[in-house]
Amino acid sequence: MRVRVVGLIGCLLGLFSAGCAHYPDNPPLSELSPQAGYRYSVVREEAKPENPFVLLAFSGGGTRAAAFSFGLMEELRQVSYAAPDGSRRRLLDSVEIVSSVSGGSFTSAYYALFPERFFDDFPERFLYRNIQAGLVLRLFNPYNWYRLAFPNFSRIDMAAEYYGNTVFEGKSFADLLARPRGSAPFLVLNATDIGIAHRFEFTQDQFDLLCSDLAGVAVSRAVAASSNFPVAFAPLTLDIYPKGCGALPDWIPNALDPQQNGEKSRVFDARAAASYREPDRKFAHLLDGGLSDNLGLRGPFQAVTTTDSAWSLVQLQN
Amino acid sequence: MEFFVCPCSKTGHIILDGHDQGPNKDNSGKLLTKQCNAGFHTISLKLGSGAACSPLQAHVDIYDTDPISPKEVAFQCA
Repeated sequence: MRVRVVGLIGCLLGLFSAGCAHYPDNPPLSELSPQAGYRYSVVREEAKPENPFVLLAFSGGGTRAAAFSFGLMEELRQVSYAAPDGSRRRLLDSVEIVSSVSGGSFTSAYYALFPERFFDDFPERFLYRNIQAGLVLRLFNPYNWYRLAFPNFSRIDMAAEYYGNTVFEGKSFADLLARPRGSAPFLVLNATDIGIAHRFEFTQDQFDLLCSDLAGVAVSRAVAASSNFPVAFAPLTLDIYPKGCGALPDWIPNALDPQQNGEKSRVFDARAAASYREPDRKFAHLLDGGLSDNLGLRGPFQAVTTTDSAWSLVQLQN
Repeated sequence: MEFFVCPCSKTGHIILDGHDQGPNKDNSGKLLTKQCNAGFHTISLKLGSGAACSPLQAHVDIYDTDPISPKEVAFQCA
């Protein structure tokens, strides 16, 4: 009898500690501020014309992609060039932006968070770790059975937790923002918004469309979304706050005005961006970035060919 | 890639779709050519003095330009 009572109390404690399992909500944003949040212009110093501007794109492809991009970073560390003042500079230190997808996102996010120790501990922390086995083992934990029974908690939320605990030390985009300006490249983690079949990047400029504050989002969640392999995982959910927090960037209404934009250029991107402000759209469901761009090149391509991108290189040239 | 200039008797900053693209002229008064992608854009000229320019905003379709013959988006400033 006593054993049964203790067991019952244990079960109740377990239920209370789990509560109603729910994915971590991304926080709302009351007002847009172009000078705040995880944006290129906030994270990096103004680019100097005399310095090389290196933009990296890491493709998807699981651990192989993570290892490949790690090797690339090692090589960039070896390559140096003569700066205008005569000193030698590593090419690695000229990396301004890293755009990544899926497996490559583990490398890029870890480097952006921990550039000082990246080469020392990333292989042990991620490349040699059996991540897949770790994820499967979690499925045998009864605590997770209970949590997975709730509609607002799925395997991808469990994976994000696992990445956060084992690889990214629970860091959020607020931690990336807290780093000294210019001390790490601007990180662009790419996922796919499966509701509109469009690329979704984890930057504040994208989160402005959702009226949400990216600083309150764990980096591990962004990496989980970027590497969210379909079928194995359910889409990762982000909340959209439909009350509004400010106007859309000017290029979007311009592109959507049929009277003006007869050639319908930029319409697809504009429709995708404007869809987050539709009153009945409450959630964004994200899957692997590879579904919309497995090379991580769409963002950089838009940045070098248009002024629409929030981190447009054309704007920097102007 | 498309190209445009903003002729004006005054020197000011070009605002393209809400983003500052730098001055419309260099120190010698020569017009600076700016780049953008094809399509409709909203362009305005912002003077350091705060004086208003006409039009306040120009909605222009920029296409089929090149660096030699950029689109001219003219402003008149008080």
